[in-house]
Amino acid sequence: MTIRTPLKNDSGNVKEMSSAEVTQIVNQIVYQYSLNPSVSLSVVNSGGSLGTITDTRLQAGAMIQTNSSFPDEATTAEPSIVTINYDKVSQTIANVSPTGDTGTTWPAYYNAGGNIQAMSLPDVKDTFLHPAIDLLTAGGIVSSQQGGTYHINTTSSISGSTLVSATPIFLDTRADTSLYTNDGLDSATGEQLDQPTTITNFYLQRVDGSDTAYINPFYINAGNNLQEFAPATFKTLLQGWIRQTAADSSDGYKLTYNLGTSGLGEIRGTGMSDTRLNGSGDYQTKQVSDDYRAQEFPDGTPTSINTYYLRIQKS
Amino acid sequence: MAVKFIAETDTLEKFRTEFNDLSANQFGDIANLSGAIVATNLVAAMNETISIATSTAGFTIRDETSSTQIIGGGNTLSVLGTTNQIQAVVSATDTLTIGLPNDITIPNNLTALGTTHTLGSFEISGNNIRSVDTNTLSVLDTLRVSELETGSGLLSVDENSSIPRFTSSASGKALTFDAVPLFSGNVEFDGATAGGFKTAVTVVDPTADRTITLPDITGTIITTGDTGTITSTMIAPGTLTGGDMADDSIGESKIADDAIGQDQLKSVVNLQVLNSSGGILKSIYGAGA
Repeated sequence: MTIRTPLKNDSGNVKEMSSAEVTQIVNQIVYQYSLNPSVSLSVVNSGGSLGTITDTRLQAGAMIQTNSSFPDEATTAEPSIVTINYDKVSQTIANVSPTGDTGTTWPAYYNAGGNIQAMSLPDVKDTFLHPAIDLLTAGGIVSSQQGGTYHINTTSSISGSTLVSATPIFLDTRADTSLYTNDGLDSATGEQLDQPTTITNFYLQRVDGSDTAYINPFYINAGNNLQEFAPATFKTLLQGWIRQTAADSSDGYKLTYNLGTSGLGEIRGTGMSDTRLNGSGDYQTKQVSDDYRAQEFPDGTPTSINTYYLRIQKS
Repeated sequence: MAVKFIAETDTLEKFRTEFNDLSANQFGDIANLSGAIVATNLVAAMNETISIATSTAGFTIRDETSSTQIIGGGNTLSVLGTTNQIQAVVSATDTLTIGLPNDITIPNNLTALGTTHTLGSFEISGNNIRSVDTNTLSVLDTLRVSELETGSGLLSVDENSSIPRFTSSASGKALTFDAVPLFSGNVEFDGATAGGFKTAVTVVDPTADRTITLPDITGTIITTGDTGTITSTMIAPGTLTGGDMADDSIGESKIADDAIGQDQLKSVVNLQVLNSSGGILKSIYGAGA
């Protein structure tokens, strides 16, 4: 691991950047990534590449009727589980071909011999790109230092992030017990079996980047002289290589997402809980004319069945 | 014949011996005196003899100042010269030769009326003097003349306004020195305006043999009093050293573009600009601490 210290223009003198100034460049790299992530997530109707997560809920058991007496509870159908699969998140990895190292592409630094040398791509990775990936893939509190990466939130509008799609990627639903009434047994088919209510919507959000100040370092120009990077040039260079690193790093800094109850990487955002009522059935009977009807409605208290997480992984 | 002398302290024997010798060998025996002589002692005999001689065959000599001397018969006339002026030589028979000695001293003036006079190998002929056997006349003492001229008069040496003067009347006033003149003091140049200011060329008293060479080139001699005279063409390439320059005297405009190399930098340090593979793109040399 070779971390270099880039050189900067210090009132006309050549000076090594401080570690804080290097960090500013790393933050700028994150910002550049946020402007055009190379590993992007989108919300699709179905068939999302991140796989399927499941929401379950109870629905009422089918009504049973006899013309002699009410069916006893033991013979009445138990509430069953309704399963809804969500495979709405798709990951797209861009094919990136950034500018190659010409020998003087990257910032200059003082080498061990006290001479000025252009950083190599491995130097740039160790100094800038990999620390930037470390920030992007960090867990915990989501901030602009994870710009361009994704997280899950229960609201569609959240400061510092951009909603990827108004369509939730996951809904936690449960049976709406308030809708199940004894009068529902008046119907020939009994109370409607599946009467869910959405407990929580889960939205895919992308973290907004923050264009932080930084100092453009020196590089070795075509005349083999030291020159400050033009901001646009440096940004384009940084964006190209952070995108390439995130998309196709071969040394452990490739960025990917996964969905599931477990997985590798850091959890991004809110866990998506699949909650369900845990009752054994609310046994209801009603005589309609000569029919003796019985049905079990969902009941019980909400219980978490599974919690799904969006994880970001570097590998 | 020496004078006989008896001291007070001599003995009688000494007196007797000397007296006998005088009587026998120097005064002579009175018995042997000529019988024609009447006198009986030696002095009287002599005076008697002189009287006889001058009265019979004598003569008188007189010089140019009229001084006279009687020469009696039988007397001897001595003819003597003056040392280094004249000499008399008596020779047989009855010959007296008057001549000049080999070494002559003339107390007063010498006038020679002939046209050519030779003293040894030194000849005076009219207004010319020369050596008759060599081409060299040597004057061993100071020769002081009012004016000296060379053979055809192209060079004269005289005095002018109480100042010795060499004058060349050759073309262009040329004067050749096939010699090594030694000047004890200055060499001064009067310039075109005589009697005005002079420019002196002088030397600090040499403490060893020195040589100042005038180069084979036309130009003007530079002195320490010159300012703004020396041009770059007069300085041999590669001869100026750092010590010739005043400290902090070379300005930026005096340094040619693209002229400073790494070797000219003090405690040079090399800052290389490398590509990402470590290949050298540029070396920047600078002065160190």
